[in-house]
Amino acid sequence: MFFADRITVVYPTGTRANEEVSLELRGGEILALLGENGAGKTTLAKVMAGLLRPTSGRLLIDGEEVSFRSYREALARGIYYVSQHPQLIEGLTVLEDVGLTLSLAGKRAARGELREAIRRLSSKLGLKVEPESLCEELSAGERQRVEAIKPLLLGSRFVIFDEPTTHMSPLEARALGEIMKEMKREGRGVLFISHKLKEVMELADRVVVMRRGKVVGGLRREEADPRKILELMFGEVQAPTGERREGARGEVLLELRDVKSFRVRSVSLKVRMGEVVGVAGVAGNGQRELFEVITGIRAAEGGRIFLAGRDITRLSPGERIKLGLSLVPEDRLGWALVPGLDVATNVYFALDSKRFIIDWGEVKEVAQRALSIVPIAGSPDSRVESLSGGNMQRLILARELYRDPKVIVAMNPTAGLDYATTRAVREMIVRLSEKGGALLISEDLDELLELADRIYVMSRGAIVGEHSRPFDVERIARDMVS
Amino acid sequence: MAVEVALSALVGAAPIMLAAYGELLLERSGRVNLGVDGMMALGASVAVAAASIGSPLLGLLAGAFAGLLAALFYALPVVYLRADQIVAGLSLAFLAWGLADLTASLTVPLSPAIIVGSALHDVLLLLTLLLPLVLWAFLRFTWLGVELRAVGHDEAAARERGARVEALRMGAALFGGLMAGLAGAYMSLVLYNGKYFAGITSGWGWLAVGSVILGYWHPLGVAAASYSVGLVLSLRPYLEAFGLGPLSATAPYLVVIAALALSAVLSARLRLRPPIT
Repeated sequence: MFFADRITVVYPTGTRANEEVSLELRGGEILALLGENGAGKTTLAKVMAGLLRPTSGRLLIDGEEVSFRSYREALARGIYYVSQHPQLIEGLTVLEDVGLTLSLAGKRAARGELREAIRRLSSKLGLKVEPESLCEELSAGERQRVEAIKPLLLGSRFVIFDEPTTHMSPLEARALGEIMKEMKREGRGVLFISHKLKEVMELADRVVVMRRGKVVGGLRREEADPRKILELMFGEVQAPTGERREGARGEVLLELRDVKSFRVRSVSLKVRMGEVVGVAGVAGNGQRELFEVITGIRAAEGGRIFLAGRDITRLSPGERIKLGLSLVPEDRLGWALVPGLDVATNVYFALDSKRFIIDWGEVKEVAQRALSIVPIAGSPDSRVESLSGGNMQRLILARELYRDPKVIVAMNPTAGLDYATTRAVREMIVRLSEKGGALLISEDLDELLELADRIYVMSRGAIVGEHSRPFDVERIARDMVS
Repeated sequence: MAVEVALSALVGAAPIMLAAYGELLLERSGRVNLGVDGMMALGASVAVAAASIGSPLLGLLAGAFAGLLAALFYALPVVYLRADQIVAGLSLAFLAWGLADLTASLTVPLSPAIIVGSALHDVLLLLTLLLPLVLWAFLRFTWLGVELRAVGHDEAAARERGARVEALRMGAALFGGLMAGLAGAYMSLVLYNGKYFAGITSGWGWLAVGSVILGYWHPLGVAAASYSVGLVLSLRPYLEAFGLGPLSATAPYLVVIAALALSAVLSARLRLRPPIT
């Protein structure tokens, strides 16, 4: 039995990723760890795999306390972690990659024997991969299954899969499910991290749900039904207020007509003047790709996008921004903000009234004016990467408010932020929408229920439902898992 | 006749080949040391000094050891302190050239030479020919070799797996120094009859670095590439006879640059990447 006892992890940025989390993984079971993005699942898994040292708390194997200084030590104690992006080493063959893992775990194997073992296991597991093929030639699903062979060869007692099916085809996902069941039959304990309800219901013996860094509930398979789990994942959904805000019926500012792209099958939606429109959905259903298509980073393969009546489908991101599109991406640093530059430059940089020679006085002045809209903890001279996540988001919104855009498109704007900043950010989004429109793509259903005037539900790349106030939460949740 | 030319070219090419093998191993671990030429010069100088008080064999060993010590100036900051490898390598080159001249100025400038055809020389040539095979087998058939390649291909992933990134790079860098020192010792003791003079390497260290790329990071490829460079160098007298004069001295370098450009174009077209073995 592998027991994580009251694990707390506080990142240097102050984010409390895990708060007194306890989890028990037994041999011969598949335990699913469910939760939204940012709920702290991966953090916990990394602690259990020795990749991350917890701020406090301890790990016990069969009642004996263990402390891992590295992944290698965890490996030696019979734990195997399959990361979300399986890192097979490009340039090595499958045989070499598997053999390297074994040799680093202190298990030397002769090439010939290993080749036979890999062949035997992969045919047993329905994996058609030659030991001599190069790792870089494998698909994501194949890599994941090569990873799954390793704990079998190592004889690991506990195997942790971190969202393994994210990049898999349904067929590959089913094959992996078979591998997990096989591991369970052999008496290994399998921890299966996911945010996909369906596969969890099919595989898991027990389900533990995490939310905002805490374990909020554990259910046996018999007592777990989708609605109960959704309730745990997204929290006690408060009865939404029924009132519609004023002015939400102006001209159409942003319109998508049957937009198609990678992972986006068909999306049509409208954002009107003075309206906050939400896009809800379980993570990984094409929301990120939709955001990228609207920004112009990803090309639309079909359909049209209109901004205030003008067709912007073929315009570059920069041209869209000039026309009044405002973006609040999920990745703050590196996408919305340029690391290495100071706050003032980051504000000024995003404006389009730039001249060839920099007038530093003007840069400071503009930054001061923008920051007078939304104060941040940090001066215009501080480097952006020294700001906390919350202050970065404030800075981004201050800049966007200053630019006075027509439409703001935000992706998970409050992910990883504390309560106070979350309040402030939501307030700003409403403010931004007063003079224009806002499209809020969020995995946080509470946020949408609170802010949005209308909610579109996205599932497997398509809009599957449209809901208006007063919201029927149950119907929205049903659409989300459809 | 052909065998004779091939053999005499090997005598000339040996230092480039030896130095290239060392650099090859380091580059397969994901680092590059531009100090090869300096380490060669130091090896050449120390070898002359050591040979003059002992034997040619002692000279060779001392030269190789001097190269190894010099490599520490590169390896310690780069591997453990994450210093910039380009700056560290170039600094090492200048530092080692200086140290080489300093060593020479303190000692007797002449020492017993290794005669072409002597047993010691034959051993050196054999080493030059066999080492690429050994390196190839090491990289291909030992897990330590696979670990080193893994570190070179994807440092982060290899580290996460528990690969000993620093230890392997340190080892490879020191091996590189050892080989460069040996190559330098070979130059002064074999090619220049036990003499050292400033600028003795005449840039052959750089040719070794180029040969690693030209040989596409494959031990046998690097052996072939560095040998070919040596062959072009040995053709110099003939070029001079053709009246090309000063241009003949630059020919090998031009050939390397042309070959590099060609291999870059070819590898891009054929979608080649550094080989797996």
